[in-house]
Amino acid sequence: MSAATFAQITLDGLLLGGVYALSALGFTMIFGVMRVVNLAHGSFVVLSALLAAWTYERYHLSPLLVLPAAFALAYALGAAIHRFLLRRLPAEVASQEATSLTLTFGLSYFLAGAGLAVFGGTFRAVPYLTGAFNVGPFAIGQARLLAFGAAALLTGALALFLRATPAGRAIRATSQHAEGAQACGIDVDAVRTSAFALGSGIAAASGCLLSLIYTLNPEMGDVFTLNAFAVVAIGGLGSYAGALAGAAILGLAGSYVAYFANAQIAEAAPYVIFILVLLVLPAGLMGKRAA
Amino acid sequence: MSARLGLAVALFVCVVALLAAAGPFLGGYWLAVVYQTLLAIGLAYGWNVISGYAGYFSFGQITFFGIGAYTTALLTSHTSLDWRLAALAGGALAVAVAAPAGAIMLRLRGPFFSLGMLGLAQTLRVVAASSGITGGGTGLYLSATVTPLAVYEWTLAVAALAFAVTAAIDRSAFGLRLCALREDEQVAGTLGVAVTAAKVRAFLISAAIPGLLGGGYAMYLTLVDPPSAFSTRLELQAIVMTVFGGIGTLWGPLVGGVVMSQISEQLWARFPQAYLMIFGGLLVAFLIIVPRGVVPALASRLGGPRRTRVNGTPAAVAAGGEP
Amino acid sequence: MSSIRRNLRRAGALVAAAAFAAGCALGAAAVRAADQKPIVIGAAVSLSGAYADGGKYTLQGYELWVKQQNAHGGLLGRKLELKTYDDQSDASVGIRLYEKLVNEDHVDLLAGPYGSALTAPTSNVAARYKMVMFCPEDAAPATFDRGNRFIFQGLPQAVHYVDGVMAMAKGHGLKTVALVGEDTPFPHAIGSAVPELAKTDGMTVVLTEYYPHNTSDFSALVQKIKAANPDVLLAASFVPDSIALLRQLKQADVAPKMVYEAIGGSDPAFGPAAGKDADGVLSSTAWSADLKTPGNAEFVKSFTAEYGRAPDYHSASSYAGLTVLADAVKRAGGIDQDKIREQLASMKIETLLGQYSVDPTGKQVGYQAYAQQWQGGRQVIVYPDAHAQGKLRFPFAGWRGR
Repeated sequence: MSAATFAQITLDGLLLGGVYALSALGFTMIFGVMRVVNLAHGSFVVLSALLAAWTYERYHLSPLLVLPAAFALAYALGAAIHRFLLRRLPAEVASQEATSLTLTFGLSYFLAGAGLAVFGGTFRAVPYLTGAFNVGPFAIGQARLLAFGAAALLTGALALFLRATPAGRAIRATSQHAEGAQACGIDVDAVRTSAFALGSGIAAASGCLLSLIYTLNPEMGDVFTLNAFAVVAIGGLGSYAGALAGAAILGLAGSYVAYFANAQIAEAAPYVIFILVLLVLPAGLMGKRAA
Repeated sequence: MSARLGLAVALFVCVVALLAAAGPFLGGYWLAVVYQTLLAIGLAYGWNVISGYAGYFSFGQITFFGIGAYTTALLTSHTSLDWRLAALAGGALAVAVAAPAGAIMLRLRGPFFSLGMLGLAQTLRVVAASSGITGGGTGLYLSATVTPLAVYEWTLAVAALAFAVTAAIDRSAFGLRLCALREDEQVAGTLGVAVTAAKVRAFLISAAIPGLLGGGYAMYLTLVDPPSAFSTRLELQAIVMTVFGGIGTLWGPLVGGVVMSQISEQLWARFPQAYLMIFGGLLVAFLIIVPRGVVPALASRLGGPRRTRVNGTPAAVAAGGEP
Repeated sequence: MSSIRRNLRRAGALVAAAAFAAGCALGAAAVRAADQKPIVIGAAVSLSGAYADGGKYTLQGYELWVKQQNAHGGLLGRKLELKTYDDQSDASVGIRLYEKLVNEDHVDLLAGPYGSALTAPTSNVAARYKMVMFCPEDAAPATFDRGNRFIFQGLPQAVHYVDGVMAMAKGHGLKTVALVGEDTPFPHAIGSAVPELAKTDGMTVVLTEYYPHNTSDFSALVQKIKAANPDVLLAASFVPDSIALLRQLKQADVAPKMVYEAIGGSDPAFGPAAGKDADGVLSSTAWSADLKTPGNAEFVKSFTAEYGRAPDYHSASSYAGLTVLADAVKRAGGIDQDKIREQLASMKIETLLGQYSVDPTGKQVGYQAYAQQWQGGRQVIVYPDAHAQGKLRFPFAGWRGR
């Protein structure tokens, strides 16, 4: 095996990591702030991707143009879900995680069903930016490069938002210490709702970009939710840089294992890695708190 | 044994015997319906022990179901072993795998455990799909020599066993230890509860039951492939039924199992297109209206908490003495 | 005899006569009613879950056939009814639904579900009640190798799908083959024929790899294909993976001389979804809209009018399946499962797919798989010569300049 091939596989792995990071973004936010595993995350990604595909089929509009609308719709929907559903669940910790998990799981079914009703079961893809940049002997898929760039950009923007804006700081305060934040006058409930809404919006934005890479139908939401979870678990609770690192690891592992072993084993690789990482480092690679 | 307990046991035995005797008279369709309901209930009970009583919400108990199914399929294909013995072997192998798996996975907490178990299920599915011995992605074709009635009786027996074991746990010190570690594992540990032993034991029970059920399923389908053996649908069904009925309760899985089977059946027959939406919507609605499940909600309506008697002093219980 | 007794006797006789007359009338009505009772065909197809797309196409074929047959007077003078359920792409649900069709709905005839993964488990129900089940959507041989005498295959066997492309490859003197496919029964069945064929045709299989269902990232696999440098790429892939694989081949600039995407490539939706990249891609199909088989042109027209899109081979297959089943019923003279079974086992009939004919196990030996190629946005049959409608464009055009 030549050095060029190895380099290409590595490159593919990094690009794949970018795709993972992108599909994990909104999830990271919700999990980090509220410790809610949003099993409906994948549904937001997929429905948004299908919307982009459908719009492209009908009107030949690039998914990038659909992105702001998808973001806004998902933001509103996420806010409604949190405000009217999640907030109604009992607050005791022991059952809270289980019930919010199950609630978002029920939501994922509902959204998958809604997607089937609206878009049908056919697989859709967006035949846009399907080519590659050829840099020397290397091929860099255009859509994947875009996804990689977008992931980096969005993560950076999110980090900035959380550091530098009052709203972002309120979110961080709430996730670090809810009672303390409340004592400082922050409306913890409202902040949580906006965090959930933001996470949903980001998931939708990712979906629009991912429509360029994946062929999807409404029932494929789980794939993205699991990917997102693996990324967060490996990278560490509450760390966005960790999530990027986690995504990179998953992407590289996926690429190497698929090449040197086979594709089937590569499918199990994310799970094995995440279990191993968590056993050794229970807080993930860069987690700030114990899981 | 108190009179009340004796009566309850007698009633239980009667119901099971009735169901067993009714088997030959149900007719093909109703036999299939009751079998699949019993399968769902059995899986729900299996899930309930580790997730409900111990509080370790697992998304991957189907791992053991799949192990049971494949083991039974392989043994019946390659040896002349009676399928029931093969299914027992399947259950035994499931427990054998659960011991080390549990020791590892139970170190994870909360959603990490949940999704870690899911990962385990996926990993095993991939192993089954890539091994020649398990037939790879195609699976194992079995000859249709076992009647649905036989599978029904087997499943009834296992589901009854699952219920009985849960009843025993519910009234025992072991059950109390699980509840203690569910509420706050650290505190329970400092109070002297042997936390690791308790949760591993619960995990093994939660592996044995699906393991035994999987064997019957293999003989029922006559084609064991990775998606059916490690069926996400069955996993999710067990979870939803238990959560709806009342997670961590004795009657929850039964109530949930029976009610949700009927709702599912009706919904699917009438609204095949909108099924997912209605199902998901109902689940969300149930969680908002009865977040702890139907059985606890009904119990509190009908007046007062149920009291369970536990033998032994608190110290003896905490020290891990037998119930 | 007293007058009371006499009157009673007369009354009794009258009552008996009336009862007899009523009985006759009812009996005649019952017989007439049985004649008027519709013939019910039952099937459980996947309308949700993994096989929903294929299931939908299957159902459409069944529905159109019933509708048209009724417009032409039904079967044996009786109307036809279709009773279907959604098996949720799950085998245990399928089994339960076929039990329901037989025991609760008392259907007269059984038609099979979509795909081999569902046909194998549900075929046991047919055998249990000694009812015939026609299986128009199972191309895998394994289902029919279990001694079930009541099931009949309505698709060409999967093991013959690659015959065409391998024959063409041999004709062009190609030497190396890479085989990839989704790790599920149908692709495995297709791929299973490759090693033998390669040996007899003097070719070497340089790569064999099956990937999991729902794979979307083929970058590593594409690198492996690139390293193996095959003349022919055989991919037993469905629509989403066919598209993804093709795109990633393009991105890595890997263009074997022949590119074959067995299943996905034959779907009419593949061309539009893959755009210009689809040009030159080969696939196998059991049926094509251009085939000159009896009633095909009308079928395509009426299907498109009814459902607003072109039919694919699953719809054609389920439609043809009912054609065969109905003909067997006619030949048997009525709904007698054993007689129908005998007919299906021995009869030959021309359908949309070609000539139906089965071997003693019920496996299809009459139909064949045609090789198609995407040329300028259209699917053109290129093999076998007897049915070809265009020439094979060889080799597969490189990626630059599309």
